[in-house]
Amino acid sequence: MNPLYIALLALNALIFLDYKFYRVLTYAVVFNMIIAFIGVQSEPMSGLVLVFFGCILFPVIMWFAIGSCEREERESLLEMTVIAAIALVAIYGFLSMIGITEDHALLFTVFAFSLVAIMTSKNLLKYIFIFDAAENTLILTAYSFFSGNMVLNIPAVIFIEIATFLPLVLLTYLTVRIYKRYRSLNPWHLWQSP
Amino acid sequence: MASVAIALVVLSIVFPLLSALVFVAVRRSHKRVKSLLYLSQAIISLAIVSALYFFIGEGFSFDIAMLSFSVTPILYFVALAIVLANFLIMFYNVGHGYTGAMEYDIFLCLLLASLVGGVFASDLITNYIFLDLTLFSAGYLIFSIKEGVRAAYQFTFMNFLASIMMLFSIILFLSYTGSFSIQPLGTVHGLEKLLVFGLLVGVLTKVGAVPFHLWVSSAYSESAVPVAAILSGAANCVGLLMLYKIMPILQMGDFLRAIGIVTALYAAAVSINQHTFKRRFAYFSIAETGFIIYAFALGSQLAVMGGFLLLITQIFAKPLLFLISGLITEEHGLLKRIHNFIVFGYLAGSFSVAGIPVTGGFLGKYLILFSAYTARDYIPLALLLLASFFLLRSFLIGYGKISALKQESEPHFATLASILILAIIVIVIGIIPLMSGWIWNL
Repeated sequence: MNPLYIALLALNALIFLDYKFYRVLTYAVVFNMIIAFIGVQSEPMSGLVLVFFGCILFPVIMWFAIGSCEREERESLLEMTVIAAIALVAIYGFLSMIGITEDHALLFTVFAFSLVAIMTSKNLLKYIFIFDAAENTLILTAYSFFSGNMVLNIPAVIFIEIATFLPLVLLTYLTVRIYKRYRSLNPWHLWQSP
Repeated sequence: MASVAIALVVLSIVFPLLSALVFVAVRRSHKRVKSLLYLSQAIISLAIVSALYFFIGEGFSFDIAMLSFSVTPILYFVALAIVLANFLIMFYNVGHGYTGAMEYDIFLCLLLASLVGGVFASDLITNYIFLDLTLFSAGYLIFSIKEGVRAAYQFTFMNFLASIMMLFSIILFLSYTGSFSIQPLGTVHGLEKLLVFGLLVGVLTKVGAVPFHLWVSSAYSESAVPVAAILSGAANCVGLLMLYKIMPILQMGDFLRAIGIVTALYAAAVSINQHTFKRRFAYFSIAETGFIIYAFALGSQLAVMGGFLLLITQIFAKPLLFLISGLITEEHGLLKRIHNFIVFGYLAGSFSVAGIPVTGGFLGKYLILFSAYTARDYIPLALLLLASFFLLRSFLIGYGKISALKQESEPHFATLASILILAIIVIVIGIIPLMSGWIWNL
């Protein structure tokens, strides 16, 4: 079992559970650095693309976003720990059961856990960190399936990164605007009728 | 010849992007100069796509920088419809509510580029990239009205979640087939089920099918009128095209037919009780989507033809309705002098949505329902007819409200001309096949 994949899973859980956003940002940066490190090992140039987007652009944007919003999450995260533990075990068990290799099961667990985290999180800023973790995990999964395969070459990685990163930037911007307008980062306000 | 055709396709995508740079350069210019550039960009885009007509022949495919494109006659006409509708919406906008804001112009250009790219995209990853660029530009455009921040967030959040699901499926697809080219998977079990599920949920969210339609009514009703017009027509069409393209992977005809029927029936029924025109038109839009999903899922040649006819018609009919909603301030009413124009436009758009002759919407729905009949799909046929009845009821309620409105201010010539041209196109699409006679020989 690759220890780096286990580290990714642990960091993803920390991103979900910690309530101080600057600390969450640190976990997210370490998460992206591990992803980029694995990426560089499979294909150096593509790994550098991940470094640029995940370890340089993303932290800068999120630094300003956190500064413009709240520094801490208001809701208690205690019950989330239980949800996180159950979700992790259930997802990993399901993916192993349907027969994918151990390393890929870990990667997909990170992705599936991100989806569960999005469903259960009560904070709009958290969504962005979780989305970032999910998309970077997916790109890394593509690498691990296809290291050295020319189907997923440099332009492909750049296009995919740009296509996924731009909506993430927009979501961050809109989160800041939402906070400035409603003074709340609770997602439930958004789905109520105006 | 082939290289000219390829150059034109690339130019139709790149030109709006280059225009975006021009808008950055002229950001301090007078509003009139900007509106002129704005229209010129739309006209040149239309000219580029029109010129492609002389080179498509039976169609062609090409790869460029790992992106794969395929140009077939039907896709060409969809792209032509998109740039023509875009031009008419821009023309309307110049006459009504154009602010000259740089970001607005830039993101409209980006949206047009991603829409044209999305139409011609042939493999999974190219479709994904252009759909995500559409999401990015459309999300920002919804926010171009400050009150639209909530709707913009809902739109961006749901569509981004859908994109992540699609990316997951695309990567799984790559692991099975070794390429991004769309091809059947064969037997579906285990992880392939997750793949199909991810793609299905992703694309159904992007087209706003029930039960993934939560973002639609707020995005269309809380955004600026031209933005709602483009989103409901062209942007929705690109999502539906992707659904059509990935049908060989999904292989879930029965399930998608059910989704199509539920979408059409639910949206048509809900549209009756909407208190504003924009929300009513938003549900019209969802109902149309349901019909098209059903047609593509049915899969017979006639049904697909009906689906594409409805798809091309909706690129004009939905903007027509939304542009009319921009002239109606529901508290104050509209000007009496142009009342007949508005009523004509409303009738053309709503007739098309409700499937009343002689509009493109009628012909498309007729072909779809006829296909359902020939496939002995009687219960869906009855339900779709019920949906059409609900749409008709909703249209009549809206007509009653529009007739009762009073006068306010005089709209610009460009505004009225756009509405008139869109209404004529919606009718012409319905008349030409009737006049040529092939419809009677089915």
